[in-house]
Amino acid sequence: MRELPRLVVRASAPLGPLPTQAPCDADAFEAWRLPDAPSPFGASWREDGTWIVQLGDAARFRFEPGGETVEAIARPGLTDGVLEDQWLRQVLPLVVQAAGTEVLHASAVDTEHGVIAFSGDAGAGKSTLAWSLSRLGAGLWADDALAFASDADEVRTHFLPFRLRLWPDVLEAAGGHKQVAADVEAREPATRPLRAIVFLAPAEAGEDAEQLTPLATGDAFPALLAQAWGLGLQEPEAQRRLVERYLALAGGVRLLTFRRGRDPAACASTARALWAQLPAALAGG
Amino acid sequence: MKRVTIHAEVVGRRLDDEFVLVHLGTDRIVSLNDTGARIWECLQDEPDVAAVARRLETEFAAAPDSLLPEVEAFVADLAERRFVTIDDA
Repeated sequence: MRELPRLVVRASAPLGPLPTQAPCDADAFEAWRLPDAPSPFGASWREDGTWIVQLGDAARFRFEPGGETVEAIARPGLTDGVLEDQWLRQVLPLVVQAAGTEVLHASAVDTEHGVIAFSGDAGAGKSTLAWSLSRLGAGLWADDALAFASDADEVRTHFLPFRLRLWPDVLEAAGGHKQVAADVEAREPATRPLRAIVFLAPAEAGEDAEQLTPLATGDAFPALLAQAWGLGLQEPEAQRRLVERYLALAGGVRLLTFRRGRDPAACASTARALWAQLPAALAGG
Repeated sequence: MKRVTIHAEVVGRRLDDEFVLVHLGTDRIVSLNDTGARIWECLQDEPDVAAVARRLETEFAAAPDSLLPEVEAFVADLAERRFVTIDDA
C-alpha cells in the first residue's frame, strides 16, 4: 500500500441537502442508510472518475483513486474534531479501498502471534474487546476498518490511523473511565501479518459463552464478505476483484468464533477468557 | 455426451478442504465438501461429465462407471443453482 493520502480542507461552505439520486453526469450513486433509519445519512457517487462522499449536510469529500490528497468542504461551524472524526471513520477506509487495498469492517489488536481481528455486526463488541485486550498488553491496531492485502505466502494488514470510540456503559463498567486514549495515529511497523479473524456474536440462552472455536471457511465467508468496505461494488469487475481478494483472505487466516456474554461489566473477564484461549486456537487445526 | 460450462460470473477458490463458489450475478455462495471440490477442479479442466467421472474413478481406484451417477447428480445440482449449464452434445 502506498502512503496514505492527506486530507485537505478546501472551504467552509453550505452544502445543501444530501442528494437522494445521482447528480447529473454522475454514476455509481449509492445512498447510505443505517438499518431501520428512514432517511440516508450519507451518499457516494462518481463524476469523471472522481469519487464524492457526502455525509449529511456536514461535509463533502472528493478524491481520485490512488491520489495523494482528499479534498474536503465542511459546513460552516463544523469543528475540526468532528471533521477529523468523520474522515477517519467514514472516508479514509473508502479512499484506501478505492486505491486497491481491501478494508474489512473489523477492530484489531497486535499481539505476539500477529494481528487478531474482530468482526461482527454493529454492537457485537468489536471495539470493546479490542480495547479490553489492549489493557492486557495487546497493541490497538484498528477500530472498524482493517486494511489487508494477500500474497501467496500470507495475509498482511496495513495500519490505518483511527479514533477509538466506546459505548458509555462500557467505560463506566470498566472503572469509570471518562474516555479512552482517543487517537491512535501510528504503529511501527506499519504492516503486520494478519493471523486470525474472530467473529463475535452474543451468546444465546443456554449456549456456552466465551468459547473460542474454529469456524468452517464456507460458513465464515458470507459473513466476511458482508463486512467489506467499498465503493461502486455494484459494478461486475469491482465485485469480482473484491470476492477474489476476500476468498484469499478467508484462505489465509484462522477463522474463529467467540460467543460473548451480554453484560458490559464483564468486558474485562471476557477479554481475559479470549486471551487465555488464543494460543491454542491459533495452533489448532 | 454431457458437457458442462461454468457460468462466467462464478468465482471460486479452494480453502483448506472446502471449495467456496460465489455467483456474482445472484450473490449465491456454495461451499463444496472435499469430494465436490475435487469434481469442481476436474470440471475446470475437462467439461465432459463422463470423462470427469472416469478420471475420478482412476484417482480413487473405483470400479468403471461407478462414479458417473454421483458426478451427474453434482453437476445437476449446480446447474439448478445456475453455477453451470449442461449441454447434451
